[in-house]
Amino acid sequence: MASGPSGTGGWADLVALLNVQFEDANRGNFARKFKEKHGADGEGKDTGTTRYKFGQFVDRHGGFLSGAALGQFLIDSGQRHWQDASLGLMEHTIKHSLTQANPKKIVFTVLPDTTGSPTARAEVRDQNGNELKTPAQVDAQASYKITVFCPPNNPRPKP
Amino acid sequence: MTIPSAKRSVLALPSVLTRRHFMSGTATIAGGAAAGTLLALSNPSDAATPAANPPTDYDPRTLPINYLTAVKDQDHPNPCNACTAYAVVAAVEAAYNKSKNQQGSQGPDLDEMDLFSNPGPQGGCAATHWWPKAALNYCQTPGLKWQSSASNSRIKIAPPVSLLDDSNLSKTQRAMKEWISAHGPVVGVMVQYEDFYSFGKAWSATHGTQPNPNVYSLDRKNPGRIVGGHSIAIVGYTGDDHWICKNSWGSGWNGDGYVRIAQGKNAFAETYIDRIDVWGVTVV
Repeated sequence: MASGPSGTGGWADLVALLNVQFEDANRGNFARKFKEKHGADGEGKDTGTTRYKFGQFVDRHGGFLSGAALGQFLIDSGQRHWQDASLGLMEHTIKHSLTQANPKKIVFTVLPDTTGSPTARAEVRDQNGNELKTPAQVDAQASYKITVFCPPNNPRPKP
Repeated sequence: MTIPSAKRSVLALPSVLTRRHFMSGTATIAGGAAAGTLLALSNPSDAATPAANPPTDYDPRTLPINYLTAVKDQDHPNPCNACTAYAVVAAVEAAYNKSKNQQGSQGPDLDEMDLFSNPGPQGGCAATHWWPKAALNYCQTPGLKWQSSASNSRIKIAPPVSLLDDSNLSKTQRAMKEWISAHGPVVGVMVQYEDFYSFGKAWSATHGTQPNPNVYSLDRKNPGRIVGGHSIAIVGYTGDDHWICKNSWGSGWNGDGYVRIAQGKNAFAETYIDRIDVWGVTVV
């Protein structure tokens, strides 16, 4: 990851902002904006909307990052940097939550990866800590805890 | 849509913009006196400061002496996330030829995989990313090895110059144009979406080796997933509209291996090709 689990402009900062968006007071408004951008089901089927993909909301909702840091974040959100299955399930969970009539709460956490993997992975769990592994299991729950495990920092070297 | 693994080029390291169509013949090419004036910028550090206006449009492929070397394929003979090595070598080869005032076909064929194998990223060809700075350090010492040569001589570069001003896109773009027209290609890093590969593949499928005059910008409706980062040699430009880039996916991709990529315009969901990491090189 460009900025890893800690540090300005990194995933930790982004996750902190996401957690604010998913708080009870803000979640409804966040969901409304989400559906304006990605359609009622997040698939971009409605006129003027685009299909939701994790990472791209940073670009489309603005304000989180800017300049080179934004570009680096987008690179790090790319599929090459993720274990595919976990990325897909996290994406599904966010989309599922924000397209419900009553958007479901998600709490994000970022931790450093300790397995030596060059790619990031996300674990989706229910409120009781049980890991959810399929979209059907996700859909059946009322709220979620998502932990993103990041490889070590690999920031763009200073000129 | 899935991108073939062979084209998951990595830096050796990500709105609706529709593809705009440009006639290749509309790009007027600077050369002669204008280019000669800019060649006076012999000190790399000079390029970071305002200089004589760069030409409005610049495409070295149309100059009497085209100093660009042939387009390579990072996936031949084996798929490899080595785009940074290929972009850096493309820039160094061109800078060398430009400094010698010679055609690319007469210039060196430098060894990308020597560069990639030595200071290259952990994970080798399966690496997720490799920033250009590390590759450029190797180009200074020990330098780049000639391909298929018994000689141990190497081509070295001067300390590379970062052309990025993170707070001022216009300033970055001007510095890039000055550098490109004066010294040769710059190395850039872009956010690669899935539709970038398919953009060139689709063109080649219907137009063969005919160069693609269309400008790549994201398919606003469905650009596909972000794949990751991609390094590329930026060899020219057309005004404030697009960069002319030499890719490393073979001469058969996008007609002739080159691609026009929209310049940053403060719009969201672009490739960030002129916003992430941009380096100018000169040979010593």
